[in-house]
Amino acid sequence: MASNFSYWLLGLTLAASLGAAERAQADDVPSLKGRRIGITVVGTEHYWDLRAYQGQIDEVKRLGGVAIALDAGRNDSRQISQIQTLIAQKPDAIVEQLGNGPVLQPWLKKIRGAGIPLFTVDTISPSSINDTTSDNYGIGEKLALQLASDIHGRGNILVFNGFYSVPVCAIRYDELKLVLKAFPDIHIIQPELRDVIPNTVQNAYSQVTDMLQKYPNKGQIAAVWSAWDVPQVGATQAIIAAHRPEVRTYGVDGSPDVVKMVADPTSPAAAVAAQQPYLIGKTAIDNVARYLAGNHDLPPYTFVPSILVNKENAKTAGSQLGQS
Amino acid sequence: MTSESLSPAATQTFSPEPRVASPKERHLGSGQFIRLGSLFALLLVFIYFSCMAPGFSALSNLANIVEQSATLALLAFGMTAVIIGGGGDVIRGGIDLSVGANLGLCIAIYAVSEAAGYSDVTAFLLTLAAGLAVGALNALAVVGLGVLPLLATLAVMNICAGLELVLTQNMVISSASPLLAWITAADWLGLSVTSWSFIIIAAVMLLLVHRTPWGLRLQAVGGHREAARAAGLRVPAYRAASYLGAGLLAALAAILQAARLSGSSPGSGDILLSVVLTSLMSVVFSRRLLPSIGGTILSVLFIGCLINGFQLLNVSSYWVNGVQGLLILGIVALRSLSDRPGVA
Amino acid sequence: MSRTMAAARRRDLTLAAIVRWATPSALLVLLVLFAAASPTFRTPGNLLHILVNNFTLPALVALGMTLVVSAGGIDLSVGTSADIAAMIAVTLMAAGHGLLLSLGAGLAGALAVGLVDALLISGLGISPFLATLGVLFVGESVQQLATNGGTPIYLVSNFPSAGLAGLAHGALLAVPAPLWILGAAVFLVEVLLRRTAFGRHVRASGAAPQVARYSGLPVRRTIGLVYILSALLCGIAGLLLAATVKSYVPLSGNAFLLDAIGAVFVGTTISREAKPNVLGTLLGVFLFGMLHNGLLLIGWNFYWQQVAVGLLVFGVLAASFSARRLQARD
Repeated sequence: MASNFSYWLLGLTLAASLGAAERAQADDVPSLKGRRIGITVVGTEHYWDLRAYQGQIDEVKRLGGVAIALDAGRNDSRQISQIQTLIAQKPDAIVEQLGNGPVLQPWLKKIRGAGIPLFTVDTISPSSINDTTSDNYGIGEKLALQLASDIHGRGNILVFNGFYSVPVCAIRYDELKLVLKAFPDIHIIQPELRDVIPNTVQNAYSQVTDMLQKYPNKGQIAAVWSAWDVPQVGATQAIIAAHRPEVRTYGVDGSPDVVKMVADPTSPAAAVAAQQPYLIGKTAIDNVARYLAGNHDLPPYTFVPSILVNKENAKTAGSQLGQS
Repeated sequence: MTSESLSPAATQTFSPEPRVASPKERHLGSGQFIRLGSLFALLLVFIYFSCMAPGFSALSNLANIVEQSATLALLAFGMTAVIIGGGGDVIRGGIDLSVGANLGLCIAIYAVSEAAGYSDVTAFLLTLAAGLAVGALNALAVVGLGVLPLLATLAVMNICAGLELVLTQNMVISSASPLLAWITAADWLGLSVTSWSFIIIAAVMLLLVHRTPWGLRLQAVGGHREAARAAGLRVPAYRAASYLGAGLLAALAAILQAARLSGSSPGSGDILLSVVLTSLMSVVFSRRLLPSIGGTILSVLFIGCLINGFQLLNVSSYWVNGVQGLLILGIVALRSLSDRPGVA
Repeated sequence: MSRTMAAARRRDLTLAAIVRWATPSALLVLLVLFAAASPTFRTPGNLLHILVNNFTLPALVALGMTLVVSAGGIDLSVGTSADIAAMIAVTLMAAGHGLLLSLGAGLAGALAVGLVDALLISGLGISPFLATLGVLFVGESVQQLATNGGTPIYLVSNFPSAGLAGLAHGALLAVPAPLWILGAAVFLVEVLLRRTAFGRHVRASGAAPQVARYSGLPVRRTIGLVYILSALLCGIAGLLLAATVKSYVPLSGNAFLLDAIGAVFVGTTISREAKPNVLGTLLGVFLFGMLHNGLLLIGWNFYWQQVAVGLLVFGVLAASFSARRLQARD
């Protein structure tokens, strides 16, 4: 009981800080008039990716600049070709969002080598001047603690770990493992499940259904964890279809539909760490504008607050996140 | 079409339809019309992009296009060789659906070998061996056992894609070997190793398939299998060689791609549809409306220019697939309208 | 002389039997192996789960493909029809429209894709492989543009009625609704192919198109209709998928394509004339579905499943084609 209250309080505090962060940013951003900003994302078929992408494009336009926006359709090779051509187009700055770290690093280095300022969204890179992201360490830790609390510190859990090569997913997974060290009675069922792109929902649905068949008794599976929330959607649907609502699901990102699922008291979706992708994109461009206006003193990270949406605060969280 | 009987001991149900040029083709030169028209269209697109897309005609950008098209080109050469040797009918003739998955598998093998500590040379040779092995499997199925190429290469594709996933567990495996570093860094006359590979291999394939006796015999085997057999050509050897060649080219492309991606990344096999498109599109650039290496080179560069030009013009990349689809449809509609019946 | 002829005839019959029994034997062997290796596998609940989740949708698509291949063609745009149907239906439902209207509009969308295929192939005479490849490419673009890059549309809160849920999860006489739908489709296609004049025309067009044309059969119209029917079946599959996952996920239909082709051709092995047939197709689809489920339950690494399917298809094809070739050698 007490732990639930503390999480509610934490959620509230974070929510309050959301408004403050937003207000602080709106005032002092220099113009991007006459500037061309390249924006390269690995794909936009996920709500988070799309919102962040749009946040960047809208902010560039709002500040009077021209956005060269490139969506690689989830294909690393295409993203690299786009970056290669983008370098030749010599924009004033380039913002890169997500993607596979090891594949991108040499090309991000090339961007800096060509003298073009590089900024990133949700991507850690030594070549980046500034990375705007959520505090994934905090997210991973708080989500794991919520899970452990909800299942009372004991049980078997299913884990989707298909995208460890994406830095933010790796951070969340590592935090889960770290937290679970303190709960020796919680076991991750082996082998871990792999989420896939494309067809994420259907595939997660199918895998969780198979697992529920394999462990058919109530209580054999306590929860399902995934590093983002699309597999959570599939998992939740599978649990409902198999009539095993005692299995809880956990994820990260906070797409509106998932927030609604969490808000539904009868749904197995127990919590989702909701980020603010549109604001993240907007903030990244604001940093670009400041840099181009002469401020070379930016910190390497800009954290944009997030909310841990759980059953207690889900009703109000939606509006705070700007979702209808 | 050979005669069909419904008895159990029927001859092979699917036998290749001989692709003989119709009198209209040979005489009228409607093939010429299409070819010149296509070349004209290519030129038009090039000029349009040069004028309207800032930076398109810069030498460094053109070099980029060549480099970005290299992987597609190598795979398309292999596919074209298979189609040439198997006859133009896609279902009954020659096709290799496994080239994309083969590429992915070879990249994975290279990355895993490097990660396991093998030397550059060993990893390189293992990769080539893998590509050849896949090609050999295709050859065994198609030529040795008589399985329909569409089905055989489909099954092999699944095997390759599955093996790639087993090796990589659907994760990125990064590689940073001296070989890969050299490929990305080296520069000769402003062109990278990848670009030079494209050019050199294109020249080799062009000569091999269209200028050597071996190549002419390959075309004969594809043009009319029974006649070639009657003339004394060892048909199975030529067809098998084309599949082995496709496998080898996939392995070479894999090395170049591994350099580009600094290792192995899932999804490399998605390139298959583009490969099929470019090989089939090569017909409009050839005099006899048959797949050709020269036509393949032009198709690959055409697609590369389109993708590059679209980006420079700030046209959304979502349109690219649609344009490729319309291209296929336009080309085959053109071709079939000028040549009925007997379309492949 | 007669002794060698008799021996040759016996060998022919043996080879033919091997070919025809390859797939059913493989199915049986695997069933037994999995049932022995995994206690979960042999529960009736699991069997039903395979049928509903791993079998129904691919089977619908494969049925359409059976029709098309019977007519001598191939259809690479099956995923496109399924996706367009789902896209239209889900978009309408998310905007608040009624269930029947949305489903009907979705089917109309699939029909449109089939019409395009038919026009290109029958009308313009383009080869089926290339025509449907082109439609596949264009369909991808359309979906990407319509969803701004491929974002799925979820229906969590916008259910028009229990009807949609009933479609995917309801049951009549303890048989799940999707199986009823599939059963109806199987019955219709089988009757169409084997018992109607249309079916005869389809098979004739596939076996010997020139002869069929000279015999006065309406080959072009038949072939065109076949693509429209295939698209409709795939549209139904797309709607069922959307109902099951309560969403539309762009480009998910393509996952069905390869298994459909594989199943149809694996299915030809059980036919005496090596022609596509409904039973064979269903066996092929079931084989794949059971393989996926069984391997997961016995704990094999997820990724070996694809290798296993590929090897299995390869094996069945190798056995049947080489046996056929040995026969033909006489």
